[in-house]
Amino acid sequence: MKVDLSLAIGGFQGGGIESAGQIALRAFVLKGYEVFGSREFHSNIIGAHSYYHIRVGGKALRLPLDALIALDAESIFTHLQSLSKEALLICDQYSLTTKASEIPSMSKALKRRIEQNYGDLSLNKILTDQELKIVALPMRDLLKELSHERSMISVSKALNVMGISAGLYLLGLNKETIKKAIEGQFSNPGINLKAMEIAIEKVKDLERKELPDGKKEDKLILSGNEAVAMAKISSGLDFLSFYPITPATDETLFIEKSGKIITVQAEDEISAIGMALGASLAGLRASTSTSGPGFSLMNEMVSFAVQAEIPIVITLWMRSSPSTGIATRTSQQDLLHAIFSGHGDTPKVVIASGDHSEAIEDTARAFELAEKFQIPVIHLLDKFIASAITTVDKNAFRTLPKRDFSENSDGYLRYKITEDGISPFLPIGRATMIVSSLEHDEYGSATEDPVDREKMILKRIKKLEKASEVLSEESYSVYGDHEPEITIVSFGSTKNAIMEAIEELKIPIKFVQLRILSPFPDLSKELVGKVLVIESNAGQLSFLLKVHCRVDGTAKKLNARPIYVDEVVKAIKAFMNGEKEVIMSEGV
Amino acid sequence: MKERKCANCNNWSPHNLYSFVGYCYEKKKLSFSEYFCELFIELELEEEFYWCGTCRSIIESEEVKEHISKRHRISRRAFMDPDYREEIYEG
Repeated sequence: MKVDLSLAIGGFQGGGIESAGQIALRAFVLKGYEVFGSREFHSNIIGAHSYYHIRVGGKALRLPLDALIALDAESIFTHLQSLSKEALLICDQYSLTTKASEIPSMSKALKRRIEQNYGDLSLNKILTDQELKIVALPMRDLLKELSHERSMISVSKALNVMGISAGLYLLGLNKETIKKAIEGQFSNPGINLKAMEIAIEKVKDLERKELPDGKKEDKLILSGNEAVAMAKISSGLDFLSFYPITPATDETLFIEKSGKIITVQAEDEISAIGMALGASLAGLRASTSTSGPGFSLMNEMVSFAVQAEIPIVITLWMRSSPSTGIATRTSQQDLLHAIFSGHGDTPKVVIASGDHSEAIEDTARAFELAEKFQIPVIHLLDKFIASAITTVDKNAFRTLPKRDFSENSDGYLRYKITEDGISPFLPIGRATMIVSSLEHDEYGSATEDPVDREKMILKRIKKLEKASEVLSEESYSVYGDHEPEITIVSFGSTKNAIMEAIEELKIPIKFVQLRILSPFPDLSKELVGKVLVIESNAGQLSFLLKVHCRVDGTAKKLNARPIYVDEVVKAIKAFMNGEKEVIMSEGV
Repeated sequence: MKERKCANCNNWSPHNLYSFVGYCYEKKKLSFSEYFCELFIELELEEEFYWCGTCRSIIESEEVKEHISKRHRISRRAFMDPDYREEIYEG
């Protein structure tokens, strides 16, 4: 029996949603299911609506939801229209008397939409006509029962455990599995286990169907941030500098906490990349991580890295821009920013990963390319991957050998002109050299000589051409039908939703997933039939593809939410019916 | 005079997210808004800032009357879980 479930756990930001979501993920993994959890949180510190969207039995998000565990009234209002007709709704019975107009944290825009749809009614009245399976728990009474055990408890972590325990139990997980998941989540789970007992006792007589065991595998459960951090450590990273920014910080803090890597929190992003470049010049494997606004500040240093030919991996976690935008939400808006970063002719490699496994693979590859071609490599990821949690193969991580340096010799020329443009590299201190941001001759001395200048520009461009040759086989992945009616082109985190949509549609579709965006690969032979570009921005990949090949239509996600399988299915159908531009608007 | 229950007591602060439960600074333990005890002291409006549980925000003393007139739940401050930071995104 294939188990395929979509559920959400919603509540206050800071109110235990993080723990509840992780308990659910752990429990389903313990049961042997494939899981994918996306954490959607508000950019305020505490109090606004946040939720965890979990898919069991797949690696992409689907709507409508089969179940909602609502820790407050706002969660019910927010997700009501995302619920399937007979979805399971677990909530606090006291929240059902609430009207949307009474919720201080709810946005005016959402209140307006709710009022348009339902009027200013309490949840009790709105839910009367619905066919949902509603389990209204007396959370206050359950908490009172728990507080008899101990005079002081974490209220949020008691209520969330009660909600999630009741939910998981009614969805068919047994008590033992839920218990193990809670034990794995908290270092001192005594009171949480008691909360679980109380909640399950309350719902134990309700109708439920026990889920069968899935295929148990010994896998890691990681967020995208953690996956990249572990891949960097495994790749032999020596030095990481950063300035905190959502959604990059969790990666950098993970590396810092490992205690194995020199990690520096700089005073700003300019310093962060400057420090990493200095470390790289000294022979260390170096990286920095940031997101759009931070990368803007790094731009001048990207040019410096190109000019001075310094290897560096810049992990760019895209978020909803421009400017501060919606800092904790996803997008793919920095594609062109990454490719055209830096002033002047700045050849560089831009890699994009589609999921956690690819992010791990690409992290090691980014270091290899940066060091081989002595260039900046920008590794493009996004907030969706950053905070999404899923299972990853334990053997996915690759170990790289230490950085390889040239032999020291008399007359060492740091920028020696060679056939492939790649000069011998020695760390500063091991040979006499000049490194600066100025145009230079082979030794590194500043020059404005037109012949030297021309040679150096051609040398730097030749390296990218060489990289293009090396990468030609690995620049993109092709899935689906090879003689299709349409070809979908995309990059990054849209991958799994597109793959599943194609599988569901059962029509001949080819999917070209770009892994390397700079140097841009030759796709002319791959684009068969009509070409549809799917992306989470206003058309940046479409722009590139129009320049290089052709595009017949685009499906865009602009609302700063993840892409769902179901809206990709609709977008493909609309494109096949002649629509040239489809806006995908699912998500809350 | 207001009803002698925790929600109206000067010693009690509601949880910042779940207003039905809170913390008694006299007994140093959790209690619920409808509980009452011999230590009850009516809320004293002598502070510069207060917590409005209805609006879930801090308000200044000049705003208190207006919130009370709208029947909002006012207390001296809000109580937060000791480990609430674990549930807040670090970025």
